[in-house]
Amino acid sequence: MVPLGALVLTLVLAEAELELVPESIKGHPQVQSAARNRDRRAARTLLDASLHHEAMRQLPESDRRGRPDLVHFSLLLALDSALNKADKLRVVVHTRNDERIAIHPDTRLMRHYPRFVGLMETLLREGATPRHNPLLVFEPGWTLQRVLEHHATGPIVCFTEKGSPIEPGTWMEAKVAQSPDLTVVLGCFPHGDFHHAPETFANEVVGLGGDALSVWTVEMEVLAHYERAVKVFPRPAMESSAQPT
Amino acid sequence: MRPRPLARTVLTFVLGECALELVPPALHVAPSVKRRSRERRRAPEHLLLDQALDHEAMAALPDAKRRGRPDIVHLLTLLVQDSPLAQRGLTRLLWHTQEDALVRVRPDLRPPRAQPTFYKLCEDLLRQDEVPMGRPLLTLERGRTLADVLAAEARGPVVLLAEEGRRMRTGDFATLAREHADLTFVVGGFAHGDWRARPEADVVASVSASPLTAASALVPVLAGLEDALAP
Repeated sequence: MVPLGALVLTLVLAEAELELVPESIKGHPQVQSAARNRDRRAARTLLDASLHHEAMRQLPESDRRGRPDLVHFSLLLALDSALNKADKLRVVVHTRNDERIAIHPDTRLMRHYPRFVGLMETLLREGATPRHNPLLVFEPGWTLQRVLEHHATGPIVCFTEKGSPIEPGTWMEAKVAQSPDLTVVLGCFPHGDFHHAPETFANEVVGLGGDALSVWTVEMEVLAHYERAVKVFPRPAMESSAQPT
Repeated sequence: MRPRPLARTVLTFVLGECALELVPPALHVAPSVKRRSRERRRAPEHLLLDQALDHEAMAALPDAKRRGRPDIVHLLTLLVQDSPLAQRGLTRLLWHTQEDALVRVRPDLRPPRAQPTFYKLCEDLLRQDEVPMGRPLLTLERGRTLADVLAAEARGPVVLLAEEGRRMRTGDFATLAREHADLTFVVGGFAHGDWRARPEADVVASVSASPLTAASALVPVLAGLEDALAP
């Protein structure tokens, strides 16, 4: 646990569309073929909309499920960020099936997507990776509420398309002035709403206005403005604000 | 703040010397390449060089550490093209490759989310110079050095993102956007080492105390520009 007042942004990637192929479609020819190509058993492969779109039509909420790519890019952006390198960021993934993936800030995630998929399949099967001194830990039985009770630092803010529109720069300045620690919840699904009303788990529900945005677009705004508000990268005393020469 | 019509604003993003190329002839018989060629039913010369897969074989290549990183191009393209700025038609994205090719990304391109699909698109682009054929979203022009690209394509002051530059944060990029109708940002599309030919720039900006990937370096830039140019 991070001590209070340690200037930490906790980023929760919530209701992430990351799951193994459900039992009901594991026998579908498309799922079987994709698994055979990877020399794996179908039930041990991740559901992936780019490979299983036909088979997924049989699933409820099929238009938003099977998106490990959203988790991959969101995690890369978070773990690569200046904020994480300054040890001011904690990231945790909550999945649609109420599981939690705890991620050590030192994790260097593979950039090659098929390898990331392989890593997640191992993680979902074995519960931790690497086996000794694990950097990633997966556990079932974690509702979003429980994840927030355990991980949240400072006020909990949820960003959604329908939230009250904010201007992120000034909003973040004001927020950090009240409490340097902050927890931001982002929906890690391609579209639609949270399964539980954000008002039930967040102190504040905000949005960037306008069209629906990718999870990484909102994440980018959050990372940049928190980084600025807590002055992660201070300018040396001798340097003034930069102007083009 | 100086008011100006949005339609005039052009924010050009140049991913310079990016590590995007097809497998070079010296590696066509490498085991990793032959295996991938068999699995994907594509000729070795039609596959992207990928450090994640060709790491061992690439040891024999000159400048191996800087090459074979199409993932950098993918992430940066997703970040720029999905940004609200791009949705409002204010951005222009150009890739300049280490082989001195210029790729123009059509502003309405919605990049494939799936990395394998994006890589296949790049493979087709590097073979046939445009994808899709006829109404291209990506077009490639060969024989364009980075200096040449910037001389011809840069609009407004050129800002180079580099570790040793002047420290700039989100607010500084917002200030730049308020002061200049057009801006050009150049970021390195390679993972290690220095520029082969460092581009000339009006501002050299550093956004972090530690080295960042191209996409992460653009995070404060895009957020600052959005701050200044939000409708």
